[in-house]
Amino acid sequence: MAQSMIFHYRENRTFLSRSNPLAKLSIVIVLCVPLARASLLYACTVFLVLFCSLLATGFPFARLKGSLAFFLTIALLIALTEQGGWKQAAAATLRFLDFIILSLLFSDSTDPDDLARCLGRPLDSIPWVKGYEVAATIQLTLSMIPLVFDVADRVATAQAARLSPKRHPVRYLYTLTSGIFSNLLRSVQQMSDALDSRLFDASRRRRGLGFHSNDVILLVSGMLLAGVGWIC
Amino acid sequence: MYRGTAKAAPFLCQEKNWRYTGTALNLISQVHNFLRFLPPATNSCYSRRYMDPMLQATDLTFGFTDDTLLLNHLSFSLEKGSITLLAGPNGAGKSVLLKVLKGLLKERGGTIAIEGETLSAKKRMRRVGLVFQDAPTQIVGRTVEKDIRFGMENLGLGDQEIKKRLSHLAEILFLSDKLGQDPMTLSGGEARRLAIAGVLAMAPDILVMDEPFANLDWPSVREVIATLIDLRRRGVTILLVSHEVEKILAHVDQAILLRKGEIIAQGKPDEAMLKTFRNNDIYLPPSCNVEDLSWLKA
Repeated sequence: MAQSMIFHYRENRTFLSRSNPLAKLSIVIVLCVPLARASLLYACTVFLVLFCSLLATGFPFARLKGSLAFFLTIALLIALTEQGGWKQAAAATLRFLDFIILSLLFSDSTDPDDLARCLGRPLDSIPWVKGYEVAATIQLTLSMIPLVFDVADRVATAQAARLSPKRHPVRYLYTLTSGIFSNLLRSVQQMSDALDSRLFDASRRRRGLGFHSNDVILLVSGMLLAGVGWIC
Repeated sequence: MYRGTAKAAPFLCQEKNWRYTGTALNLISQVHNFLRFLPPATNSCYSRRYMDPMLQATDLTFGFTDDTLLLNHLSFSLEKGSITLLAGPNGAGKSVLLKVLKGLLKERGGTIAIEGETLSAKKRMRRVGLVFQDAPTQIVGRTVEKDIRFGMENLGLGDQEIKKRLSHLAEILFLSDKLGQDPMTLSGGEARRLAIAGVLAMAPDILVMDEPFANLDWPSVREVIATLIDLRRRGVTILLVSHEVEKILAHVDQAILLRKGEIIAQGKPDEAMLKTFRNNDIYLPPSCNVEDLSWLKA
Protein backbone atom coordinates (compact mmCIF):
# COMPACT_ATOMS: atom_id res chain seq x y z
CA MET A 1 0.00 0.00 0.00
CA ALA A 2 1.47 3.33 -0.98
CA GLN A 3 1.44 6.28 1.32
CA SER A 4 0.26 9.01 -1.04
CA MET A 5 -2.13 11.22 0.87
CA ILE A 6 -1.73 14.92 1.40
CA PHE A 7 -2.30 16.47 4.85
CA HIS A 8 -1.34 13.11 6.32
CA TYR A 9 1.00 12.70 9.28
CA ARG A 10 4.34 11.08 8.51
CA GLU A 11 6.21 9.39 11.33
CA ASN A 12 9.68 10.96 11.23
CA ARG A 13 12.20 12.47 13.63
CA THR A 14 12.43 16.05 12.42
CA PHE A 15 12.63 19.15 14.63
CA LEU A 16 8.98 19.94 13.97
CA SER A 17 7.63 16.42 14.61
CA ARG A 18 9.42 16.37 17.99
CA SER A 19 7.83 19.68 19.02
CA ASN A 20 4.72 19.89 21.16
CA PRO A 21 1.53 20.16 19.04
CA LEU A 22 0.34 23.09 21.18
CA ALA A 23 3.49 25.07 20.37
CA LYS A 24 3.00 24.36 16.66
CA LEU A 25 -0.67 25.31 16.79
CA SER A 26 0.19 28.57 18.58
CA ILE A 27 2.70 29.46 15.85
CA VAL A 28 0.12 28.70 13.13
CA ILE A 29 -2.43 31.02 14.79
CA VAL A 30 0.11 33.77 15.50
CA LEU A 31 1.40 33.70 11.90
CA CYS A 32 -2.07 33.63 10.34
CA VAL A 33 -3.03 37.03 11.80
CA PRO A 34 -0.31 39.16 10.10
CA LEU A 35 -0.48 36.94 6.99
CA ALA A 36 -4.14 37.78 6.43
CA ARG A 37 -3.18 41.36 5.42
CA ALA A 38 0.49 40.86 4.52
CA SER A 39 2.36 42.97 1.98
CA LEU A 40 4.18 41.37 -0.96
CA LEU A 41 7.54 41.62 0.81
CA TYR A 42 6.32 39.97 4.01
CA ALA A 43 4.35 37.26 2.17
CA CYS A 44 7.45 36.51 0.11
CA THR A 45 9.69 36.34 3.23
CA VAL A 46 7.30 33.97 5.01
CA PHE A 47 6.99 31.89 1.85
CA LEU A 48 10.76 31.44 1.67
CA VAL A 49 11.05 30.52 5.36
CA LEU A 50 8.16 28.04 5.19
CA PHE A 51 9.28 26.52 1.90
CA CYS A 52 12.80 25.97 3.27
CA SER A 53 11.26 24.33 6.37
CA LEU A 54 9.20 22.07 4.10
CA LEU A 55 12.34 21.06 2.21
CA ALA A 56 14.14 20.39 5.51
CA THR A 57 11.41 17.99 6.64
CA GLY A 58 11.94 15.85 3.52
CA PHE A 59 8.41 16.47 2.29
CA PRO A 60 7.51 13.96 -0.46
CA PHE A 61 6.83 16.46 -3.30
CA ALA A 62 7.17 13.89 -6.07
CA ARG A 63 4.71 11.47 -4.51
CA LEU A 64 2.11 14.17 -3.87
CA LYS A 65 2.48 16.08 -7.13
CA GLY A 66 -1.14 15.31 -8.13
CA SER A 67 -2.60 16.86 -4.97
CA LEU A 68 -0.12 19.76 -5.03
CA ALA A 69 -1.07 20.52 -8.63
CA PHE A 70 -4.62 21.17 -7.40
CA PHE A 71 -3.44 23.91 -5.02
CA LEU A 72 -1.08 25.37 -7.62
CA THR A 73 -4.03 25.61 -10.04
CA ILE A 74 -6.04 27.49 -7.44
CA ALA A 75 -3.05 29.78 -6.78
CA LEU A 76 -2.86 30.47 -10.51
CA LEU A 77 -6.57 31.28 -10.61
CA ILE A 78 -6.10 33.72 -7.71
CA ALA A 79 -3.20 35.38 -9.53
CA LEU A 80 -5.24 35.75 -12.72
CA THR A 81 -8.43 37.00 -11.15
CA GLU A 82 -7.03 39.37 -8.50
CA GLN A 83 -7.70 43.02 -9.35
CA GLY A 84 -5.45 46.00 -8.50
CA GLY A 85 -2.16 45.39 -10.30
CA TRP A 86 0.49 42.69 -10.36
CA LYS A 87 1.76 43.45 -6.83
CA GLN A 88 -1.67 42.80 -5.34
CA ALA A 89 -2.04 39.64 -7.39
CA ALA A 90 1.39 38.35 -6.39
CA ALA A 91 0.79 39.13 -2.71
CA ALA A 92 -2.60 37.37 -2.72
CA THR A 93 -1.13 34.30 -4.43
CA LEU A 94 1.78 34.13 -2.00
CA ARG A 95 -0.53 34.56 1.01
CA PHE A 96 -2.61 31.64 -0.24
CA LEU A 97 0.52 29.50 -0.74
CA ASP A 98 1.77 30.50 2.74
CA PHE A 99 -1.44 29.22 4.32
CA ILE A 100 -1.21 25.96 2.36
CA ILE A 101 2.44 25.40 3.32
CA LEU A 102 1.66 26.18 6.96
CA SER A 103 -1.10 23.54 6.89
CA LEU A 104 1.20 21.07 5.18
CA LEU A 105 3.94 21.60 7.76
CA PHE A 106 1.49 21.25 10.62
CA SER A 107 -0.35 18.15 9.34
CA ASP A 108 2.86 16.48 8.13
CA SER A 109 4.52 16.79 11.54
CA THR A 110 1.57 16.44 13.95
CA ASP A 111 -0.20 13.22 14.84
CA PRO A 112 -3.91 14.10 15.35
CA ASP A 113 -3.85 11.79 18.37
CA ASP A 114 -1.03 13.84 19.98
CA LEU A 115 -2.87 17.06 19.17
CA ALA A 116 -6.04 15.77 20.87
CA ARG A 117 -4.03 14.77 23.95
CA CYS A 118 -2.50 18.24 24.22
CA LEU A 119 -5.67 20.21 23.48
CA GLY A 120 -7.96 18.23 25.80
CA ARG A 121 -6.85 19.66 29.13
CA PRO A 122 -6.63 23.40 28.20
CA LEU A 123 -9.98 23.24 26.42
CA ASP A 124 -11.54 21.42 29.36
CA SER A 125 -10.52 24.23 31.70
CA ILE A 126 -12.83 26.61 29.80
CA PRO A 127 -16.22 26.72 31.56
CA TRP A 128 -19.12 24.97 29.74
CA VAL A 129 -16.74 23.39 27.23
CA LYS A 130 -16.33 19.62 27.13
CA GLY A 131 -12.65 19.94 26.29
CA TYR A 132 -11.79 16.28 25.73
CA GLU A 133 -14.78 15.80 23.43
CA VAL A 134 -13.89 18.90 21.40
CA ALA A 135 -10.27 17.67 21.15
CA ALA A 136 -11.47 14.23 20.00
CA THR A 137 -13.71 15.91 17.41
CA ILE A 138 -10.72 17.88 16.08
CA GLN A 139 -8.70 14.65 16.00
CA LEU A 140 -11.37 12.80 14.01
CA THR A 141 -11.86 15.73 11.63
CA LEU A 142 -8.12 15.85 10.93
CA SER A 143 -8.12 12.08 10.41
CA MET A 144 -10.87 12.45 7.83
CA ILE A 145 -9.10 15.04 5.65
CA PRO A 146 -6.76 12.49 3.99
CA LEU A 147 -9.78 10.19 3.68
CA VAL A 148 -11.62 12.83 1.60
CA PHE A 149 -8.63 13.22 -0.73
CA ASP A 150 -8.21 9.45 -1.02
CA VAL A 151 -11.89 8.88 -1.84
CA ALA A 152 -11.95 11.78 -4.33
CA ASP A 153 -8.86 10.39 -6.05
CA ARG A 154 -10.33 6.87 -6.24
CA VAL A 155 -13.69 8.06 -7.62
CA ALA A 156 -12.04 10.36 -10.20
CA THR A 157 -9.74 7.52 -11.34
CA ALA A 158 -12.66 5.08 -11.57
CA GLN A 159 -14.65 7.57 -13.66
CA ALA A 160 -11.72 8.27 -15.95
CA ALA A 161 -11.12 4.53 -16.38
CA ARG A 162 -14.73 4.15 -17.52
CA LEU A 163 -14.28 7.03 -20.02
CA SER A 164 -16.77 9.26 -18.23
CA PRO A 165 -17.73 11.96 -20.80
CA LYS A 166 -16.74 15.51 -19.84
CA ARG A 167 -18.78 17.16 -22.59
CA HIS A 168 -21.55 17.95 -20.10
CA PRO A 169 -19.73 19.55 -17.15
CA VAL A 170 -22.83 19.67 -14.94
CA ARG A 171 -23.56 15.97 -15.43
CA TYR A 172 -19.88 15.13 -14.97
CA LEU A 173 -19.62 17.13 -11.75
CA TYR A 174 -22.89 15.66 -10.48
CA THR A 175 -21.74 12.05 -10.96
CA LEU A 176 -18.31 12.89 -9.53
CA THR A 177 -19.59 14.59 -6.38
CA SER A 178 -22.36 12.06 -5.75
CA GLY A 179 -19.78 9.25 -6.14
CA ILE A 180 -17.40 10.98 -3.74
CA PHE A 181 -20.19 11.62 -1.23
CA SER A 182 -21.54 8.05 -1.17
CA ASN A 183 -18.05 6.54 -0.97
CA LEU A 184 -17.11 8.98 1.76
CA LEU A 185 -20.18 8.00 3.77
CA ARG A 186 -19.19 4.33 3.47
CA SER A 187 -15.62 5.06 4.56
CA VAL A 188 -16.79 7.13 7.51
CA GLN A 189 -19.19 4.35 8.54
CA GLN A 190 -16.29 1.87 8.48
CA MET A 191 -14.20 4.27 10.55
CA SER A 192 -17.05 4.67 13.03
CA ASP A 193 -17.42 0.87 13.33
CA ALA A 194 -13.67 0.56 13.87
CA LEU A 195 -13.72 3.16 16.64
CA ASP A 196 -16.82 1.64 18.28
CA SER A 197 -15.41 -1.86 18.17
CA ARG A 198 -12.29 -0.65 19.98
CA LEU A 199 -14.32 1.16 22.64
CA PHE A 200 -13.34 4.69 21.62
CA ASP A 201 -14.73 7.20 24.11
CA ALA A 202 -14.41 10.85 23.10
CA SER A 203 -14.99 12.11 26.63
CA ARG A 204 -12.17 10.04 28.15
CA ARG A 205 -9.52 12.13 29.94
CA ARG A 206 -6.12 11.64 28.33
CA ARG A 207 -2.60 12.45 29.43
CA GLY A 208 -0.95 15.35 27.58
CA LEU A 209 2.60 15.68 26.24
CA GLY A 210 5.36 17.71 27.90
CA PHE A 211 7.20 20.81 26.62
CA HIS A 212 10.91 20.72 25.75
CA SER A 213 13.67 23.07 24.56
CA ASN A 214 12.53 22.46 20.94
CA ASP A 215 9.26 24.14 21.73
CA VAL A 216 10.95 27.24 23.16
CA ILE A 217 13.10 27.62 20.02
CA LEU A 218 10.05 27.12 17.81
CA LEU A 219 7.92 29.60 19.75
CA VAL A 220 10.63 32.29 19.81
CA SER A 221 11.41 31.99 16.09
CA GLY A 222 7.71 31.92 15.20
CA MET A 223 7.01 35.00 17.32
CA LEU A 224 9.93 36.84 15.68
CA LEU A 225 8.58 36.04 12.21
CA ALA A 226 5.09 37.14 13.21
CA GLY A 227 6.53 40.28 14.87
CA VAL A 228 8.19 41.30 11.59
CA GLY A 229 4.74 41.05 10.00
CA TRP A 230 3.21 43.37 12.58
CA ILE A 231 5.98 45.96 12.05
CA CYS A 232 5.75 45.78 8.23
CA MET B 1 -6.74 -16.34 25.73
CA TYR B 2 -3.17 -15.37 25.20
CA ARG B 3 -2.94 -14.37 28.89
CA GLY B 4 -0.44 -17.09 29.63
CA THR B 5 -2.84 -20.00 29.47
CA ALA B 6 -0.72 -21.82 26.92
CA LYS B 7 1.87 -22.35 29.61
CA ALA B 8 -0.79 -23.88 31.82
CA ALA B 9 -1.83 -26.48 29.27
CA PRO B 10 1.13 -28.88 29.77
CA PHE B 11 0.51 -28.70 33.51
CA LEU B 12 -3.03 -29.92 32.94
CA CYS B 13 -1.93 -32.83 30.78
CA GLN B 14 0.54 -33.92 33.41
CA GLU B 15 -2.14 -33.59 36.02
CA LYS B 16 -4.46 -35.80 34.01
CA ASN B 17 -2.13 -38.76 34.62
CA TRP B 18 -1.78 -38.33 38.37
CA ARG B 19 -1.89 -41.39 40.63
CA TYR B 20 -3.67 -41.29 43.94
CA THR B 21 -2.21 -42.93 47.06
CA GLY B 22 -4.12 -41.31 49.98
CA THR B 23 -7.49 -41.58 51.79
CA ALA B 24 -10.92 -40.95 50.24
CA LEU B 25 -11.19 -37.56 51.95
CA ASN B 26 -7.81 -36.51 50.54
CA LEU B 27 -8.92 -37.69 47.11
CA ILE B 28 -11.99 -35.40 47.18
CA SER B 29 -9.83 -32.55 48.42
CA GLN B 30 -7.26 -33.05 45.63
CA VAL B 31 -9.92 -33.24 42.90
CA HIS B 32 -11.58 -30.12 44.29
CA ASN B 33 -8.28 -28.24 44.31
CA PHE B 34 -7.47 -29.41 40.81
CA LEU B 35 -10.80 -28.22 39.37
CA ARG B 36 -10.55 -24.92 41.25
CA PHE B 37 -7.30 -23.99 39.53
CA LEU B 38 -8.42 -25.03 36.06
CA PRO B 39 -7.25 -22.27 33.66
CA PRO B 40 -9.95 -20.26 31.87
CA ALA B 41 -9.20 -21.60 28.39
CA THR B 42 -7.13 -24.58 27.24
CA ASN B 43 -7.05 -27.23 24.56
CA SER B 44 -7.21 -29.97 27.15
CA CYS B 45 -9.89 -32.62 27.29
CA TYR B 46 -10.90 -31.36 30.76
CA SER B 47 -11.99 -27.92 29.59
CA ARG B 48 -14.07 -29.41 26.78
CA ARG B 49 -15.82 -31.87 29.05
CA TYR B 50 -16.60 -29.84 32.13
CA MET B 51 -17.00 -26.23 31.07
CA ASP B 52 -19.72 -24.27 29.22
CA PRO B 53 -19.05 -23.44 25.59
CA MET B 54 -17.26 -20.12 25.17
CA LEU B 55 -20.14 -18.73 23.13
CA GLN B 56 -23.70 -19.98 22.88
CA ALA B 57 -26.14 -18.30 20.45
CA THR B 58 -29.75 -19.38 20.92
CA ASP B 59 -32.63 -18.60 18.55
CA LEU B 60 -30.81 -15.53 17.27
CA THR B 61 -32.71 -13.27 14.86
CA PHE B 62 -31.82 -9.99 13.17
CA GLY B 63 -33.27 -7.82 10.43
CA PHE B 64 -33.24 -4.15 9.51
CA THR B 65 -37.02 -4.31 8.85
CA ASP B 66 -39.81 -6.46 10.23
CA ASP B 67 -40.44 -8.08 6.83
CA THR B 68 -37.02 -9.55 6.12
CA LEU B 69 -34.96 -11.46 8.63
CA LEU B 70 -31.27 -11.51 7.74
CA LEU B 71 -30.59 -13.99 10.56
CA ASN B 72 -33.41 -16.45 11.05
CA HIS B 73 -33.48 -18.20 14.44
CA LEU B 74 -29.83 -19.29 14.53
CA SER B 75 -28.51 -21.53 17.30
CA PHE B 76 -24.90 -22.62 17.57
CA SER B 77 -22.04 -22.76 20.02
CA LEU B 78 -18.28 -22.19 19.93
CA GLU B 79 -15.98 -24.33 22.05
CA LYS B 80 -13.13 -22.75 23.95
CA GLY B 81 -9.82 -22.72 22.10
CA SER B 82 -11.36 -23.81 18.82
CA ILE B 83 -11.52 -22.47 15.27
CA THR B 84 -14.97 -22.37 13.66
CA LEU B 85 -15.49 -21.64 9.98
CA LEU B 86 -18.65 -19.82 8.91
CA ALA B 87 -19.24 -20.28 5.20
CA GLY B 88 -22.04 -19.43 2.83
CA PRO B 89 -22.85 -17.68 -0.43
CA ASN B 90 -23.03 -13.90 -0.80
CA GLY B 91 -25.97 -12.42 1.08
CA ALA B 92 -26.22 -15.37 3.49
CA GLY B 93 -25.84 -13.04 6.49
CA LYS B 94 -22.31 -13.96 7.53
CA SER B 95 -20.94 -10.45 8.05
CA VAL B 96 -24.18 -9.38 9.73
CA LEU B 97 -23.85 -12.29 12.14
CA LEU B 98 -20.31 -11.21 13.04
CA LYS B 99 -21.47 -7.64 13.69
CA VAL B 100 -24.33 -8.92 15.85
CA LEU B 101 -21.95 -11.14 17.84
CA LYS B 102 -19.61 -8.18 18.32
CA GLY B 103 -22.48 -5.92 19.42
CA LEU B 104 -22.21 -3.39 16.55
CA LEU B 105 -25.75 -4.47 15.55
CA LYS B 106 -28.39 -5.31 18.15
CA GLU B 107 -30.20 -8.63 17.79
CA ARG B 108 -34.01 -8.59 17.37
CA GLY B 109 -34.53 -11.82 19.23
CA GLY B 110 -32.69 -14.67 20.88
CA THR B 111 -29.75 -14.61 23.23
CA ILE B 112 -25.97 -14.65 23.07
CA ALA B 113 -24.20 -16.08 26.11
CA ILE B 114 -20.47 -15.95 26.72
CA GLU B 115 -19.15 -18.47 29.28
CA GLY B 116 -22.73 -19.15 30.33
CA GLU B 117 -23.65 -15.51 30.93
CA THR B 118 -26.21 -13.85 28.62
CA LEU B 119 -24.81 -10.49 27.54
CA SER B 120 -26.30 -7.35 25.98
CA ALA B 121 -24.83 -5.87 22.78
CA LYS B 122 -22.98 -3.22 24.80
CA LYS B 123 -21.35 -5.77 27.11
CA ARG B 124 -20.37 -7.97 24.17
CA MET B 125 -18.28 -5.11 22.75
CA ARG B 126 -15.63 -5.81 25.39
CA ARG B 127 -15.76 -9.61 25.18
CA VAL B 128 -15.73 -10.10 21.39
CA GLY B 129 -12.94 -8.82 19.11
CA LEU B 130 -13.78 -8.24 15.45
CA VAL B 131 -11.21 -8.10 12.65
CA PHE B 132 -12.83 -6.39 9.66
CA GLN B 133 -12.77 -7.70 6.11
CA ASP B 134 -10.86 -4.62 4.97
CA ALA B 135 -8.15 -4.61 7.66
CA PRO B 136 -6.73 -1.14 6.85
CA THR B 137 -10.11 0.49 7.65
CA GLN B 138 -9.70 -0.84 11.19
CA ILE B 139 -6.31 0.77 11.70
CA VAL B 140 -6.67 4.11 13.46
CA GLY B 141 -3.17 4.75 14.86
CA ARG B 142 -0.54 6.65 12.87
CA THR B 143 2.15 4.13 13.83
CA VAL B 144 1.96 0.39 14.42
CA GLU B 145 2.66 0.90 18.14
CA LYS B 146 0.03 3.62 18.53
CA ASP B 147 -2.55 1.45 16.81
CA ILE B 148 -1.94 -1.52 19.11
CA ARG B 149 -2.04 0.84 22.12
CA PHE B 150 -5.31 2.50 21.00
CA GLY B 151 -7.73 -0.15 22.30
CA MET B 152 -5.78 -0.73 25.51
CA GLU B 153 -5.82 3.00 26.32
CA ASN B 154 -9.57 3.03 25.72
CA LEU B 155 -9.84 0.21 28.25
CA GLY B 156 -7.96 2.42 30.73
CA LEU B 157 -5.11 -0.04 31.30
CA GLY B 158 -1.96 1.07 33.14
CA ASP B 159 1.32 1.80 31.37
CA GLN B 160 3.03 -1.35 32.64
CA GLU B 161 0.23 -3.60 31.43
CA ILE B 162 0.08 -1.82 28.06
CA LYS B 163 3.83 -2.26 27.55
CA LYS B 164 3.64 -5.92 28.56
CA ARG B 165 0.81 -6.73 26.17
CA LEU B 166 2.35 -4.63 23.40
CA SER B 167 5.69 -6.40 23.46
CA HIS B 168 4.04 -9.84 23.77
CA LEU B 169 1.70 -9.27 20.82
CA ALA B 170 4.37 -7.64 18.68
CA GLU B 171 6.53 -10.71 19.27
CA ILE B 172 3.92 -13.39 18.53
CA LEU B 173 2.57 -11.52 15.50
CA PHE B 174 6.06 -10.65 14.14
CA LEU B 175 5.58 -6.90 14.36
CA SER B 176 8.45 -6.11 16.76
CA ASP B 177 10.60 -4.46 14.07
CA LYS B 178 7.68 -2.45 12.68
CA LEU B 179 6.42 -0.70 15.80
CA GLY B 180 7.57 2.76 14.66
CA GLN B 181 6.35 2.28 11.10
CA ASP B 182 3.36 4.03 9.50
CA PRO B 183 0.59 1.41 9.04
CA MET B 184 -0.06 2.81 5.55
CA THR B 185 3.29 1.39 4.46
CA LEU B 186 2.57 -2.19 5.62
CA SER B 187 1.86 -5.02 3.19
CA GLY B 188 -1.57 -6.69 3.11
CA GLY B 189 -0.48 -9.57 5.37
CA GLU B 190 1.23 -7.23 7.83
CA ALA B 191 -1.82 -4.95 7.95
CA ARG B 192 -3.99 -7.99 8.71
CA ARG B 193 -1.61 -9.04 11.50
CA LEU B 194 -1.70 -5.50 12.88
CA ALA B 195 -5.51 -5.54 12.85
CA ILE B 196 -5.41 -8.85 14.76
CA ALA B 197 -2.89 -7.42 17.24
CA GLY B 198 -5.04 -4.33 17.82
CA VAL B 199 -8.01 -6.55 18.64
CA LEU B 200 -6.12 -9.11 20.73
CA ALA B 201 -4.55 -6.31 22.77
CA MET B 202 -7.96 -5.78 24.31
CA ALA B 203 -7.92 -9.43 25.47
CA PRO B 204 -11.30 -10.45 24.01
CA ASP B 205 -12.73 -13.86 24.87
CA ILE B 206 -13.58 -14.53 21.25
CA LEU B 207 -11.87 -13.39 18.07
CA VAL B 208 -14.16 -13.08 15.05
CA MET B 209 -12.67 -12.42 11.62
CA ASP B 210 -14.40 -11.39 8.43
CA GLU B 211 -12.75 -12.82 5.29
CA PRO B 212 -9.20 -13.02 6.71
CA PHE B 213 -7.78 -14.16 3.35
CA ALA B 214 -9.37 -11.47 1.18
CA ASN B 215 -6.92 -9.64 -1.13
CA LEU B 216 -3.93 -11.56 0.22
CA ASP B 217 -1.23 -13.27 -1.82
CA TRP B 218 0.00 -16.80 -1.14
CA PRO B 219 2.71 -16.01 1.47
CA SER B 220 0.32 -13.68 3.31
CA VAL B 221 -2.39 -16.37 3.41
CA ARG B 222 0.18 -18.75 4.93
CA GLU B 223 1.11 -16.07 7.47
CA VAL B 224 -2.53 -15.61 8.51
CA ILE B 225 -3.16 -19.38 8.76
CA ALA B 226 -0.01 -19.81 10.86
CA THR B 227 -1.19 -16.96 13.11
CA LEU B 228 -4.64 -18.52 13.55
CA ILE B 229 -3.19 -21.94 14.41
CA ASP B 230 -0.80 -20.36 16.88
CA LEU B 231 -3.59 -18.37 18.52
CA ARG B 232 -5.70 -21.52 18.91
CA ARG B 233 -2.70 -23.23 20.52
CA ARG B 234 -2.68 -20.33 22.99
CA GLY B 235 -6.33 -20.96 23.80
CA VAL B 236 -8.04 -18.22 21.75
CA THR B 237 -11.55 -19.04 20.48
CA ILE B 238 -11.84 -18.04 16.83
CA LEU B 239 -14.83 -17.68 14.50
CA LEU B 240 -13.97 -16.80 10.93
CA VAL B 241 -15.98 -16.08 7.83
CA SER B 242 -14.44 -17.08 4.54
CA HIS B 243 -15.44 -17.80 0.97
CA GLU B 244 -12.08 -19.47 0.43
CA VAL B 245 -13.12 -22.61 2.29
CA GLU B 246 -10.39 -24.78 0.77
CA LYS B 247 -7.69 -22.67 2.45
CA ILE B 248 -8.79 -23.21 6.03
CA LEU B 249 -11.17 -26.20 6.20
CA ALA B 250 -8.46 -28.71 7.15
CA HIS B 251 -7.52 -26.59 10.17
CA VAL B 252 -10.93 -25.88 11.70
CA ASP B 253 -12.66 -27.75 14.52
CA GLN B 254 -16.18 -26.91 13.38
CA ALA B 255 -17.83 -25.63 10.21
CA ILE B 256 -21.17 -23.85 9.90
CA LEU B 257 -22.91 -23.37 6.57
CA LEU B 258 -25.24 -20.38 6.37
CA ARG B 259 -27.72 -19.71 3.58
CA LYS B 260 -30.33 -16.94 3.46
CA GLY B 261 -29.91 -16.35 7.16
CA GLU B 262 -30.43 -19.99 8.16
CA ILE B 263 -27.98 -22.66 9.24
CA ILE B 264 -27.95 -25.42 6.62
CA ALA B 265 -25.25 -27.59 8.18
CA GLN B 266 -23.09 -27.53 11.28
CA GLY B 267 -20.45 -29.94 12.55
CA LYS B 268 -16.96 -31.33 12.10
CA PRO B 269 -15.31 -30.76 8.72
CA ASP B 270 -15.67 -34.33 7.46
CA GLU B 271 -16.56 -35.85 4.10
CA ALA B 272 -20.30 -35.34 4.67
CA MET B 273 -19.67 -31.63 5.31
CA LEU B 274 -17.63 -31.36 2.10
CA LYS B 275 -20.53 -32.88 0.20
CA THR B 276 -22.98 -30.41 1.76
CA PHE B 277 -20.67 -27.52 0.85
CA ARG B 278 -20.47 -28.69 -2.76
CA ASN B 279 -24.25 -29.11 -2.93
CA ASN B 280 -24.65 -25.50 -1.79
CA ASP B 281 -22.38 -23.97 -4.44
CA ILE B 282 -19.39 -23.49 -2.12
CA TYR B 283 -16.26 -23.95 -4.20
CA LEU B 284 -13.93 -26.80 -3.24
CA PRO B 285 -11.30 -28.41 -5.50
CA PRO B 286 -12.91 -31.33 -7.36
CA SER B 287 -12.55 -34.88 -6.00
CA CYS B 288 -10.65 -34.09 -2.80
CA ASN B 289 -11.16 -35.01 0.85
CA VAL B 290 -10.40 -33.04 4.02
CA GLU B 291 -6.83 -34.41 4.31
CA ASP B 292 -6.07 -33.22 0.79
CA LEU B 293 -6.94 -29.70 1.91
CA SER B 294 -4.14 -29.64 4.48
CA TRP B 295 -1.81 -28.59 1.65
CA LEU B 296 -1.67 -25.16 3.24
CA LYS B 297 -0.52 -26.52 6.56
CA ALA B 298 1.59 -23.75 8.03
